[in-house]
Amino acid sequence: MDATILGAWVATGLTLLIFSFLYKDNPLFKLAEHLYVGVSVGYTIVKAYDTVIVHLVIKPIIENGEFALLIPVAIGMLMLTRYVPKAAWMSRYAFAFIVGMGAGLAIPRTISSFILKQIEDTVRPVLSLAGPDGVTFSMNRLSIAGLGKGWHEPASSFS
Amino acid sequence: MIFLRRQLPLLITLITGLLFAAQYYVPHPASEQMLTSATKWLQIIGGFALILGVTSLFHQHAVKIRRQEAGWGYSLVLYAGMIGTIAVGLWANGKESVDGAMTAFGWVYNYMMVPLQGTMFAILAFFIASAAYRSFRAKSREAAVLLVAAMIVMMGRVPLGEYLIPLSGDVSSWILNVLNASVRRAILIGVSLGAVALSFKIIFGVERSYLGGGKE
Amino acid sequence: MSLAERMLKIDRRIIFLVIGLCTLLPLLYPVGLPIRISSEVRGVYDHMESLPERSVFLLSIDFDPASKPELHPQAIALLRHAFRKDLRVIAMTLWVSGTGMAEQLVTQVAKEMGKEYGKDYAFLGWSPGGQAVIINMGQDLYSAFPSDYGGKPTKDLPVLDGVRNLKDVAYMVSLGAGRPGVEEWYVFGKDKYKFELGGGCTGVMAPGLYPLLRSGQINGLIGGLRGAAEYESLIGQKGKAVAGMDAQSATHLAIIVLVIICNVFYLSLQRAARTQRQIG
Repeated sequence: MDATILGAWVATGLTLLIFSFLYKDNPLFKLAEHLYVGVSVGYTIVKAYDTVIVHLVIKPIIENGEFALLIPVAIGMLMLTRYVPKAAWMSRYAFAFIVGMGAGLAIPRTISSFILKQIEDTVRPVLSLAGPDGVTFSMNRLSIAGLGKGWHEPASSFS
Repeated sequence: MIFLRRQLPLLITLITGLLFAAQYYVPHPASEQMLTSATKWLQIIGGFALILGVTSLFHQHAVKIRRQEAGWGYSLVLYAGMIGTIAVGLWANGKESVDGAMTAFGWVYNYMMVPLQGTMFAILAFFIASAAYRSFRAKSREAAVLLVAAMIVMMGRVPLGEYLIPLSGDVSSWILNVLNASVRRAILIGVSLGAVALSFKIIFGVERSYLGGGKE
Repeated sequence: MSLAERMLKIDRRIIFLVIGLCTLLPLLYPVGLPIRISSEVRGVYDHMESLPERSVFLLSIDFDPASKPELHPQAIALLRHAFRKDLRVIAMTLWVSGTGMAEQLVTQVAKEMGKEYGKDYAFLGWSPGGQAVIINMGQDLYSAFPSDYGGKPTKDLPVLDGVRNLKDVAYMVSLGAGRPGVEEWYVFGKDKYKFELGGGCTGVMAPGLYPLLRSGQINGLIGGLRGAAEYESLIGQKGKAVAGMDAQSATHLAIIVLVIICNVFYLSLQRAARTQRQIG
C-alpha cells in the first residue's frame, strides 16, 4: 500500500479514536491520547536535538570555531542535574541565569510596551480636548498647557 | 556550602537581572554585542529547558510501568510512540521532508501528530457548546449583560448573523473596539504591573520558588 | 421531573450531535453568504498592498496543528498575497510542534505561485527560546538562525541580501495561537527594532489583542476563521476559510438557539418556583 494512502487511513483512525471521547471515555481514546503525548514528546526531542545541538552548537563550533558556545551548553547540562538528587542543587545556577536574564529583559520592555504605550493611548482622547497647543507628560505631573510639541513622541514624552 | 547552594544562585539572578534591565537603556556597541551573545546563549539553554520539561514525563511513566500500576499499558504505548518518533526522526536528520519528498519522520508528523493534536483541540468546541448551554443563564443582571454581549458578538462575527440582523456586525465591532478594548487595556496594564513587580521580586531574591533543586 | 427540568439536564451528547451536524452539513452543502470586510483585516491587507516589490516580509507561523483550522488559511492567504506582490518572503516559527506544518505550507504556496527557494523565499525553521529568538533576530538575524530549515547557511541565501536584523524587515506578521505570539513580537521585537507589525490569531484570542490594535502597536489584526475568510475575499482567492464560514455561521446560530432555549426553560422554572412560594 502507498505510504500516503496508509497515512490517510491511520490519520482517519486516530481522529475517530479521539472523537470517541465525545460518546464517553474509553480505552481506545486513552490509547490515542497516550500515543499523542508520546509522539509529541519524541518530535520535540528530535527537533531540539537537531536545532540546538547540531545547528546552533556543533556546526558553529566546527565551521567557525565558536567555542564560547560551550558555555551555554554547560549551563544547559547543569539544568539536567535535576535528575541526580545529590547534584540537583547545581541546576539552580542554570535557573538563576535564565530566570534572572528573563526578568531583566522583560522589565523595561513590558513597561515601555504595555504600561506606557497603553496609558498614552488611554489618555489620548482626554488630551485631545486640550486644544491644538498640545500637552506634555512628565513622571510626576500631567500638565495640560501649551508645553511644546506634545505627547505624540512615545518614549521621550514620558521623561 | 550554603553560599554555593543558595546565595550564589541568588547573586547570579541579581546580577543578570540588573545587567539586562539596564542594557535596554545603553545602546553602546559593547552593550549590544553582549545582548546578542546572551540571547544566543538563552536560545541554546532554552533547548535544554525544553528537553528537561518533556523528559520529566519519562520518569513518571517509567515508574508506572515498573510497578505495573493501573493503566501501565498506556504508558507503554506512550513510550513506543516516543521512541519510535525519536528513531525515525534521527534517521531523517530531524527533517520532515528532503527536496520535497516526505521522510518517515514527516509521515509520523503528518499522519499521526497532526490529526491527533488537531482532533484533541477540536473536541473542545463540543464541550464549549455544551458548557454554554449549561452555564449561560441569566441568573443575575451581570450574567444577563454577559449573555447579551456574547450573543451579539457571536451573531456579528458570522455572515449568517449579519444577514439575519444587519446591525449585529456594527454593534459587535463597537463592543470589541470600545467596550472590550478599554477593559482589556485595564487588565493588560494591571497584569503588566504585576509582571514587572514579580520580576523585581525575582531579581532581589524575594521570590525564590523558581530555584527548586533540593531543600537547602 | 417537568419538561423544563428535563431540558435543562439534557444529555450533552445531544448537544454534541447538533454541533457536529451544524459543522458537517454546511461543509457538504455550502451556501456562500457574503463576507463583510472589517477594518482590522483591511489594515494588514492595505499595508501589504503599499509595500514596494522585493520588500522583505517576515511571517512567523507561531501555531501548531491544534489551531490549524483557523490559522492555516490565514497563513496561506498572506503568503499568496506576498508572493503575488513579489515580496521577499522569510518564514519561520517559534512553536516547535508547528515546524513541519509551517514548512509544508510555505513550500506548497511557493510552488503554487512559481517561486524559487533562496531567491524569492526562505524558511528558517524553528529555534527555541521564544523571546530570546526575537531579540537575537533584532540584533543579528544570522546569529539567531545561522542555517535555514534545510541546513543551508542563511548568509548564502540571496533572498536575505541586505537584511542584517529585524530593522531591515519592511513588514512582519505573527500568526500566533498563544505564547510566544503577537504580543511577544511587539514587546521583544517592534518595541526596540521599530519594524511594522501586523497580527493574526485564533478567534478566542482576538479580543485580547484589541488594546494593541487601538493603540497602533499592531496595524491590523486577522482574527480567527472569519479574519482568514475576509483576507481570502480581499485577495480574491477563496479557500478553506470562506468554505468554513457557513459551518461557523451554523454552529454560532445553533449555540445561540441552545442558549435561548436554556434561558427560556430556566426562567420558566424560576417563575414556577416563585408562584409556588407565593401560594405556599
